[in-house]
Amino acid sequence: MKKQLAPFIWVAPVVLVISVFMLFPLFQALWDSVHGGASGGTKSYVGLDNFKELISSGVFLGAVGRTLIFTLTAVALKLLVGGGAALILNRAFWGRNVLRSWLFIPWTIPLFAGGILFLWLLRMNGGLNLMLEKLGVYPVFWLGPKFAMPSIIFLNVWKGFPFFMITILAGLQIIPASLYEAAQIDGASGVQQFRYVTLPGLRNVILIASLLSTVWTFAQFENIYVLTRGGPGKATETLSILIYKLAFGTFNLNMGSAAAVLALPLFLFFIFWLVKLVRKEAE
Amino acid sequence: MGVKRIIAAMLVLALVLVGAGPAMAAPHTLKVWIMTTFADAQNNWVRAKVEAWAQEASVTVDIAMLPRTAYGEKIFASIEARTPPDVVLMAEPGATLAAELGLTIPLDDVVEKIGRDDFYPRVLSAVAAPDAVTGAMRIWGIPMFFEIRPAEIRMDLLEKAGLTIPAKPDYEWLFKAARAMNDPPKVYGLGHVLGRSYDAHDNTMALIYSYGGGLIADRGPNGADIFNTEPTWRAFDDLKKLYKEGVIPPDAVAWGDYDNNLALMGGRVAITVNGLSIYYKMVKDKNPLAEAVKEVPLTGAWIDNAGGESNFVFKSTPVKEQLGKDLLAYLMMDKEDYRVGICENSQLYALPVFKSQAQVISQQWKDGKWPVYAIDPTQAIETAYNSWPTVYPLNEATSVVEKFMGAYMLPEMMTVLFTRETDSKKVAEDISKALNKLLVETYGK
Amino acid sequence: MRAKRWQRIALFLILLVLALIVALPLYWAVTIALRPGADMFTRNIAPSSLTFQNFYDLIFDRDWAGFQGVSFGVPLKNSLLVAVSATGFSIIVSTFAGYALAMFSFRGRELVSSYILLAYIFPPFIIVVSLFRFINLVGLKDSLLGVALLHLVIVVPYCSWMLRGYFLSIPKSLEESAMIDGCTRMGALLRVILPVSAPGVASAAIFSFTLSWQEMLFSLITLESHDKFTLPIALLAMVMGDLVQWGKLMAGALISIAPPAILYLALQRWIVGGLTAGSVKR
Repeated sequence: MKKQLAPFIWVAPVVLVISVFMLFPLFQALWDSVHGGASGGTKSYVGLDNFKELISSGVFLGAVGRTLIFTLTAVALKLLVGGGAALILNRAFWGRNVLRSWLFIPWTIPLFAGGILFLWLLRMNGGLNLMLEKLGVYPVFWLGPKFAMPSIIFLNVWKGFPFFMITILAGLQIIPASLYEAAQIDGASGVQQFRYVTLPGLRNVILIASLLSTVWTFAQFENIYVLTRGGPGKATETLSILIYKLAFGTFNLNMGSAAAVLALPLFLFFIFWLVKLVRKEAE
Repeated sequence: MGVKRIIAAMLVLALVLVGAGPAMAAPHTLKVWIMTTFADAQNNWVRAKVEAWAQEASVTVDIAMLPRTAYGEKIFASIEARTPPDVVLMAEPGATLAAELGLTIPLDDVVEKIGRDDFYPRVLSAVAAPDAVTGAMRIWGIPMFFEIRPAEIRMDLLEKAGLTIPAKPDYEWLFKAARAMNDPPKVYGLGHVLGRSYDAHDNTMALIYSYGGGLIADRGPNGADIFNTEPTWRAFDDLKKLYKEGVIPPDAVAWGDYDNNLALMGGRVAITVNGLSIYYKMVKDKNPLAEAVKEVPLTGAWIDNAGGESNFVFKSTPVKEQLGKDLLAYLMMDKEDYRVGICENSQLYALPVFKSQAQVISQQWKDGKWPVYAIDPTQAIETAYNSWPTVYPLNEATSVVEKFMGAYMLPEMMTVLFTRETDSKKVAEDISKALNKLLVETYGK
Repeated sequence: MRAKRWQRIALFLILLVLALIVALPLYWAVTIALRPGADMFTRNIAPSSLTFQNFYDLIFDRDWAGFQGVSFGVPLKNSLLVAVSATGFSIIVSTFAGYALAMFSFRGRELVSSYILLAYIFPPFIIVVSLFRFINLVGLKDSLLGVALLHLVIVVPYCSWMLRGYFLSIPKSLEESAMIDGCTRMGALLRVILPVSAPGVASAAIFSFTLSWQEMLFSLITLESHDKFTLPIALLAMVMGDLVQWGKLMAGALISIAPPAILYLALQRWIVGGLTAGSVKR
């Protein structure tokens, strides 16, 4: 009897923490989302009104669209840049270790601090434009309606590509050298080696790193909040920013919760995919 | 053995979770929020005053200094969560909302104690609202100061453009001057903030009021229809044109409250409209451009925050409520000290709410103490609009405008004018609809 | 053969360009932070001279927040306090959980693992409103304890998942031989397993520390007053003020970048192993 209970006691604190701070708040959010009323006033049951308003006013779907654009573009670019850097770094050359350490630095920079750095860099008369000006280029409005989304993607890629670089580099080193030798004996070209040896060997690493990064990028709040606060207008208003704005910017906690509840299925879709893959890989 | 240890650790965690909360809020500690203005001298004065009072009255105070822009989120969130502080000082939005919800106490006796006759009547009317239960007009906040918003003009550039300041400068003249001084990308004519900020709200509303428009006419469900009229369309069209011509810098749509200040201080704009925070900061930083800048009040568009920066007390226990009232009275009883600490310390960014002190300031100006002002600053008090929580043409305080402004709804909703060139009438209509919705939510049908 | 050589140089150059892009924001942060105040409004790319005045003012002038009183050392200390306590707590509970999930076989093991994984990748913004209510309910708003508790949401699942992965890589025979020697499970963990898995535990701790260090959303909803601010909120308060002082702001950003960057670079070898252990098995 005691023996069967023991493992549960070992995991109990962690399960308890997660349940108190994650599961319980989820139920609270569900309750909140079907209640409403004037901000600050007493709240009453409103059924699905909050959801209806979020959908019919278009703010929710707009935020979903922007979140998807932001997430998918950023992850693809991070994979591309990080993977490319890893492939180059995998060769032996002079200064390799220094360069690897240097390229790893953005990953160590806290999200909010990265946002502050870019706030100066991308301002109208900030660092980047000052440099362009010396080259005779007219200043570009990086945080304006046209470029705000590319700008936050740029920041996200700048900060996040080293994760791909390091994991893919580790993955490359696991691929047995004998496979390459065998391919060379068969007369495979460099491109063919990449296609038939490197890529299959990296398949799982890339899949899992991409999925993890997708979830993290999807949840991104700090960078965007510091850099643009979702603006100008709604140009960079992703789901995380929308929920924060609804709850704490327009003083309507219930509406914020309703948006969170609406966003949940979208996120669960990612999660189940990821959990399935991770467990499959573990077997 | 091991199991016991784990159980013990969990018990400790549970105790921390349960015990820490109540233990932190001792019953007789007065929780005081001070919203910081950008004038550090003001903030230091208010805080020192609170500490001095606490010592004299032997009360424990828990002072929280809140950053200016985070304050709005915090006060509304604390009202939503029903965990407000005991006393709020230098508050911008929130006083009217809390009063309308019946969360704060009336402060008429504090006003009497300080001296009702010495207050400018208009400053008290801006914080007066009917009691939720009895319906009698009561005062819910003690206004701290007037904030005037003149135009800051670079006199050297104005001269170069061959212009002088007319006797009655208005927005039409200002736009003309801005166009004449425009030399992008080096110097833009007009630093009008268009991003998510209080400045964008204040300056745009000032423009609309000066064109004869309004925000809310009555508390009914169509009270904000007045916003969707010709003066608003005209103001929007003018701003749109100035932006398109490149007289307003292209990044102004992403500007916050500080960006126009930085632009003027960096010599990037020739004109901006702001409180005297700019001048205060330029003097403090010994910015060489400070000498070239003059504060020019515009006719018909003066705007101030009567009742904006105000102090109020939340309902709690009778003991704490009384302590809160004592503190409010203490802050303003010594009017000489108040004038120096709040007004003079801030280079007259803040003007006194007392007639007696305004006279002192007026005399100082006549003696040449405040040369940056083009006219006697205290004249502004008589001719200005109250920016908020008072609205025109209703001319009373309402929490609707606090929410409207606290959520930056005007700047957020008008951005499309510039980013997507949306029709002014459409934008005005959307905004008036949103306001009407707020009216219905707050006052019912 | 010659084409290969050109190829190599081209690839190296690509990497160099990437390195320059990485350097760009850092270059500006450093030169703005070290720039004398009078230099701020000139439009020069390089500062005319270098000074540590901004750093000095931040710590000793105590007016970054718009009033005299709080040194920038206070948010630095607060962030440290929160990160260390959240990490300490979660390392302890996660070691037990990770160990049990890796070494014991019991019904529901897979379920608990999935539960932890789900929590690990769950985006905090979905529950931020409820957590705000929670922190108000238990009376912990505007307190560092409140922030540290909320950080457990992020740190505990992460640590548990990572340590579980690490313990899985340790041969089960090690535990068995310890238990044959008469150790209890707890004894085996403390005396035999933990010493060998020190690198794993250490890198989990470092990662937790930085996760808590860079968290902003929960601090934003919990903290109200300047003397309780953690670093991200302190920096935000400097941006949101009516007037931004870029020199001090960049100095503050560099101060908050330094601890994790130094930790990572000094312990790079461990970290890289840890980084991949969390996502890729082993």
